[in-house]
Amino acid sequence: MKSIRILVVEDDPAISSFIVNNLVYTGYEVVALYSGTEADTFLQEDHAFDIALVDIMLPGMDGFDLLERLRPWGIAVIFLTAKADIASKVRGLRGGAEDYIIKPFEVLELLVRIERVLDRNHKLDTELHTHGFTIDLENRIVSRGDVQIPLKPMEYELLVMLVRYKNRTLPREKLLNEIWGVDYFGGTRTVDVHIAQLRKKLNLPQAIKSVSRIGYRLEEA
Amino acid sequence: MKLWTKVSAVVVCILVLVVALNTYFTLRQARTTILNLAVENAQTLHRMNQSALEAEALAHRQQVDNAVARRSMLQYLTMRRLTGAVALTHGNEIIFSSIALDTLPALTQDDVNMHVGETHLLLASQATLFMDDAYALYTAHDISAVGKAMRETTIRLLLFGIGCILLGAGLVIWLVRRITRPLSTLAHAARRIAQGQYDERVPTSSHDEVGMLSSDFNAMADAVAHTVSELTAAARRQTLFIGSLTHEMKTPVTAIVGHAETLLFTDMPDTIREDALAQILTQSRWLENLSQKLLQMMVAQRPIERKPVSVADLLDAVQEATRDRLDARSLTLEIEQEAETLSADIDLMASALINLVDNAAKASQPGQVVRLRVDATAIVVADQGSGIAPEHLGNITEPFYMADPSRNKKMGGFGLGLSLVQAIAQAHDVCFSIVSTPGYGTRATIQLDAYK
Repeated sequence: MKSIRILVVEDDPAISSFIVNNLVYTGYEVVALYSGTEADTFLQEDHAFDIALVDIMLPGMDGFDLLERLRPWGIAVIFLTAKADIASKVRGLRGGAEDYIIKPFEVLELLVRIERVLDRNHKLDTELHTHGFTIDLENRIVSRGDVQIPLKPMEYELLVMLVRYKNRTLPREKLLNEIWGVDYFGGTRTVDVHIAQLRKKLNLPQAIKSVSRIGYRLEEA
Repeated sequence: MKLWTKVSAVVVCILVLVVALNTYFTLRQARTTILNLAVENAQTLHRMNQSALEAEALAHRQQVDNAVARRSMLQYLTMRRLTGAVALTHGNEIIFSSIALDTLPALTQDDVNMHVGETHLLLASQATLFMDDAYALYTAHDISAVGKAMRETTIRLLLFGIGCILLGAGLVIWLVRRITRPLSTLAHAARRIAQGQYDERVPTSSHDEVGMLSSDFNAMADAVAHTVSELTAAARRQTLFIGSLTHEMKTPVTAIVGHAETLLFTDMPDTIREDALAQILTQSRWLENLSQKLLQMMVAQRPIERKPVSVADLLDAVQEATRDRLDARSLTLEIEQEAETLSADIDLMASALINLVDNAAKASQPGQVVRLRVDATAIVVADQGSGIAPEHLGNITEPFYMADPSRNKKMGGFGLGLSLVQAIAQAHDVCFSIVSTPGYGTRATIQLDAYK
């Protein structure tokens, strides 16, 4: 996750700034540009990006045209746009974009979608590390040194999410939807129960922090 | 019940009534007349017979001197000298009778009495013969012809009457239907218009009430079609406007949500947190300004009251409101006042002019001049700035349209200014137009004397 480079092409500075801040916070390397033409010029020099977040309505060259420029470099594109109409969405996805996010969006939603695209393109690390634990993502094994720690499937998923987005508060509803799915009929109690289990099994009562009324976060210095 | 049925039924009823009454009274009158005629005839014949008998008796009075002889004589005379069916009685004795009756009614004191039967008329009168007045002469007359004539007349009158009624009914029905047919055409047309075919019209051929109704109907349909198309256009503009508005709002909302989530869910350094709060504040203020502009637009779209406005006051207000922006960009506002008053809503007009001067300022370079001129015919705001390209001129009064979005956004613009000016001009019933040459400048005119 450390060596991932993301290009952000968004003309509104207010929006560009929070996207960049959050991407950097999550551990990505970010370059922010403010127009299609600016991006096109920049790419001639530097096109080593794993993924690009592109606004459709840009001054000069618009997002759709920029997509044509990005694909030859093998840069996966996620569109960010206020245009919610089906026609635009189809055009974007047909044109080869990996995903299409409509404004306004949740920051965590954006991060999760980026993760999915990176995963699809095999750019993610195969291992995660936190507090002395190693998570083998291919084999789904959590271990501390040589000792394997058996976790139930949902506990595992929950841990992976906490670690991926460490130092970020993850709301209960979001955890429930992402891990248990949007069709899950049970309440968010199940999240609390699984968190309790994790804390016990990993012996991290403090590091897995409760954020009152919102959710949980894994703290790591 | 249909109109033509109603009218026809009423007319036919009247016709029947009239024909029936006429027939009845005519027949009654005819009967009386014919009967009187027959009676007169009979009376004449009776008197003739009576005279003849009396004359014969007188002529032969020498030859008969006894009752028997008299009797035979009278028998002979009655039988030979009189015409028709007659009878002669003397007291209770019947001397002669060719009347087919068993008994003859007794004579009363009247001169001639009369009995009218179905087919016969019996007249009787006292006859003085051979100086004896106890004789009664009867004549019977066949009046069956009267009945026959009456029956024939009745039948003829009835047939004629029925014929008249049928013909009349037929004519009336045809005529009324002809007149009311345009009404069903009108009804059809009205139905189609109600179903949404606003171009439906009716032919207007006759100059009577129905013809006038038809042309009035067409006029009404024209008005409806016009109004419908205006309302549809207005509704479409409204939908587009709301679409644009929603779209425009998404950007600040995205920024607010994004920065707020950052503050709530992460632990970023203080500089970033402060920046996030600043952004939230800026975007929120932007939304507030936007809603104010929208409110202005709504006010401009309501019916306004035009009052005499002091042009000096108006120009002062505009200068006051635009001073800061003009000073900040080192621009000069040149004012030409050639009119004392004008008829307007002062707040709206000031708002329009402030918008125009602001636009002129945004387009100008430092040191340039913005001219504002008010005379009796027009208000003009002209600048020497970058101008508007021809391809944008048609669209600049569209809500949220920005010819140069990045420059506009940098200056905190919404793309609503000119649509607001347009709305204000429309509310005042005057024309607003813009002429521009890229590189030279722009001239915005509110034409006061040419009404829409």
